[in-house]
Amino acid sequence: MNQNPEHDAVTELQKSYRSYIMKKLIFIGICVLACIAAVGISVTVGARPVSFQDVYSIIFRHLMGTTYTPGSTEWLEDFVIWNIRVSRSVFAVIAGAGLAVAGAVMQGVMKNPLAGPYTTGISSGACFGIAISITLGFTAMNGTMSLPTVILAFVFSLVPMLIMILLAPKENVSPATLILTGVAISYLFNAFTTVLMVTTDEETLADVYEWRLGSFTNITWSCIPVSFGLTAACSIILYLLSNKLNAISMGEKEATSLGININQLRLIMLSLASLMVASIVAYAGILSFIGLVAPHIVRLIIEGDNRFVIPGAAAFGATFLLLCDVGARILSDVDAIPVGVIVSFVGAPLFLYLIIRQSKNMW
Amino acid sequence: MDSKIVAIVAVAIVAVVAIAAAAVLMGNGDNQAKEKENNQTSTTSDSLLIVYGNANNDYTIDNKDVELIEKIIKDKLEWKETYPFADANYDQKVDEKDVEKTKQIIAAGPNNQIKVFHKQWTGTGYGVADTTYPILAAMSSSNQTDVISYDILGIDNEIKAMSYKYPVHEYYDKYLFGNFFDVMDDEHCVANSGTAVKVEKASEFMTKYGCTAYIYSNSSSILNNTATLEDMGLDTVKVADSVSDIGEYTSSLLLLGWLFDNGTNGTHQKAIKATEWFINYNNDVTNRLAKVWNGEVTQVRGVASSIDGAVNVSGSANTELLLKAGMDCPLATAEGSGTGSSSLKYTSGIDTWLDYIKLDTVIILRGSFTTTGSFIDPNAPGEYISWSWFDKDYDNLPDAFAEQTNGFYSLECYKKGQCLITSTMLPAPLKSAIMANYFYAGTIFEDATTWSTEYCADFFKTFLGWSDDFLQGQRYVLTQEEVCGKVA
Repeated sequence: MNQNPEHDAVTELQKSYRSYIMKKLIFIGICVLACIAAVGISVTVGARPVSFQDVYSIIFRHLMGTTYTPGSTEWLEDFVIWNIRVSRSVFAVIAGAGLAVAGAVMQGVMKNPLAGPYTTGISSGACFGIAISITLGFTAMNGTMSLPTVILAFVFSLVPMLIMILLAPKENVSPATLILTGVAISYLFNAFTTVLMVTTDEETLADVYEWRLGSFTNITWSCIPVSFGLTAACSIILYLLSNKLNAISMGEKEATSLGININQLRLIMLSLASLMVASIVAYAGILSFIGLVAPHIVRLIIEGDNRFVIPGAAAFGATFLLLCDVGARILSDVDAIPVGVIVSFVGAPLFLYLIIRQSKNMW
Repeated sequence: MDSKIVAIVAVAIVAVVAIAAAAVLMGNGDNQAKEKENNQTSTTSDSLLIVYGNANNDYTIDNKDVELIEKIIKDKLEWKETYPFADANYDQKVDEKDVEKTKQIIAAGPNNQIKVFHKQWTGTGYGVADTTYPILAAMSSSNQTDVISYDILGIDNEIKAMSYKYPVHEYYDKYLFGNFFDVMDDEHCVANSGTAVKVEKASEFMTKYGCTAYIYSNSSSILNNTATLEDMGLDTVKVADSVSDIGEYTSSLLLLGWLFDNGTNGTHQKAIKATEWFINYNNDVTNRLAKVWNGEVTQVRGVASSIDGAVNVSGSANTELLLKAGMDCPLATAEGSGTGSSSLKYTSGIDTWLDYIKLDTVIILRGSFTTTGSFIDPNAPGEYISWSWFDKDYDNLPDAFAEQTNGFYSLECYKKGQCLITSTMLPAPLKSAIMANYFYAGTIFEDATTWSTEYCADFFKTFLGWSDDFLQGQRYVLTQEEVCGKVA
């Protein structure tokens, strides 16, 4: 009857820890499944009347390499389902995941719950870079995106990012001050963009205006490679750095004592986040609230361990944005309501709720 | 580390400002060139069928073009400057393939459609596009100036769907646009605006009606997903609108009339007839306004207003109309307020900036509240109609006029009773004619309305088939003095 209480306690602790981790993994798993289900719904929603079964039949036949006579009904349905709906759904997943991860990282790095791609001015900076690109003629009027546009979007997103890096470590700078700075930078870049819009011709103006709304109307497969490549690569790197992000959240002295170069880490992580945001904004425009709200909701459920918050935010953000896009298409079959508007309609009340219910435990 | 970051930020900000300034200056350069173009007296470009294969630059593609192409090949003639449309297959050379292509074009019909190359209006100039010919069914914008063109060509049966922002058939003149009311509804809506024709909706109409093209003009909003639509097999055909140079507009009419001609609907002949009509009209106007251009007659100074509280400036079609009417528009080079706006806000009693500009008139162009583009009820000749402006009903003409012009009551020209209202739904050349006739009455024209009224009547009889009885007593302009009397 010799029981080892210490061994029992350790075993109990391990069980408890496994259960603790399992809950997080289950949540992430549910988000991933929800995302897959949302994609499954998204490809069936659209203006062209195609039945649920026919949609999947078309996708299956497309993957099997079936071809049709150009201009035939089957050819048009294949074109619409594959080139419009599937590509749009895939992009929504990429954009939602990327923006949510960027938001989660920004909030962790700056230790500021209000940090996000929009509130830090990074989205607006990227949008200004796109406006410059369009004005200089790097982007074709029919929506075809070019790499120089993404590069310009990234370059101009760096300015607000660098300002944030400069201010974030200062001890006398409160979270509110930091975000107000971001909002001010956002206004500044919006003003720059408006000046460009006012001075340019109407065709350029229409293109820039469309981007500022945040819309998936012109998304095709050509938008996927760059956005997916950058988002996937940056997200993986950021996930690999999530342990170090956890260390920063314990405090700067603690992190430094663990051998982490905080300033360097901030620079790397925010640069990667800015690159992700730029690659998404370049194609879809400004989509606010995803980067702000998604990480908070995830933290409400699985708390603040960034090893789980980052993938959880990615899955949740993807699902959230995809469902908003589905909602936008259901409300109007002529895409009258840009997805950015729906995201704001849904995200703003959620954000208010989070502000009221904000728990410091999540930090 | 902090000082390094400060340095990086400072360099980045300087770079941002420099690039932004460069972009603004580049944009301004383009606009200045456009302004200069606007201020010059218009010179007319040639009217021709802008389809590759029309080697002899006339209004059609026939065996004469085949003979000319063969001559170019045989005699090795220079063609790029003189006969650019001889390159029927647009491969930058003229050879036997172009002869073959031209013969195919001549032989094409509803049962053997082919792709043809043609010039495509881009808004600032011409590019080249390929379109299936003949077009048997198409979608289009619902812009008024575009629909008038379709009326002229008689292609109401071929337009199967339209893009529009609001239930236009509730506000469009039923006599001018009635032929298209059955496609101006939700069931036939391909987009809620012209900015992006929705690919899925367009595909639905391609299947349902066999539409192969989307037609729009530089008056319509910008179409920014043409690549996707073209990949789907929908040809996008952009044409110059009626506010453009007459040569460009008639070339567009010829293009559309030819593309839509299926051998039985006669649209090409209608386009040729319209071209000749507009050329004659333009020659008449140009000759009459010569005295204005050479300074013999003092120019009338005016501005236009298209909606309540707005005065049109640079970039507005109405400002272009004033200039074409031989008027001096002091706001022709002014920039609008707000992004992409071609108007400035003005309301008497609130704004004062317009009070300091010497004006002879304000021309108010209003749509949606007249029938036939006229202010006379065609069913009761001589009687002014009662009409509604959106949801308002007016019991009498002076009330309506007062409300539409009330924003300008503090202007001297208003006090002298020199403002007028005309319908914005009329084709652009007619609107110019109305303005020119009214303001140069006594100097260039015998009176204020006879010449322009006759032109309008001739236009409606020729292209819409209206009868003399229907046109009896039509008035296309309401003057302040005759309706309200002098205010002061």
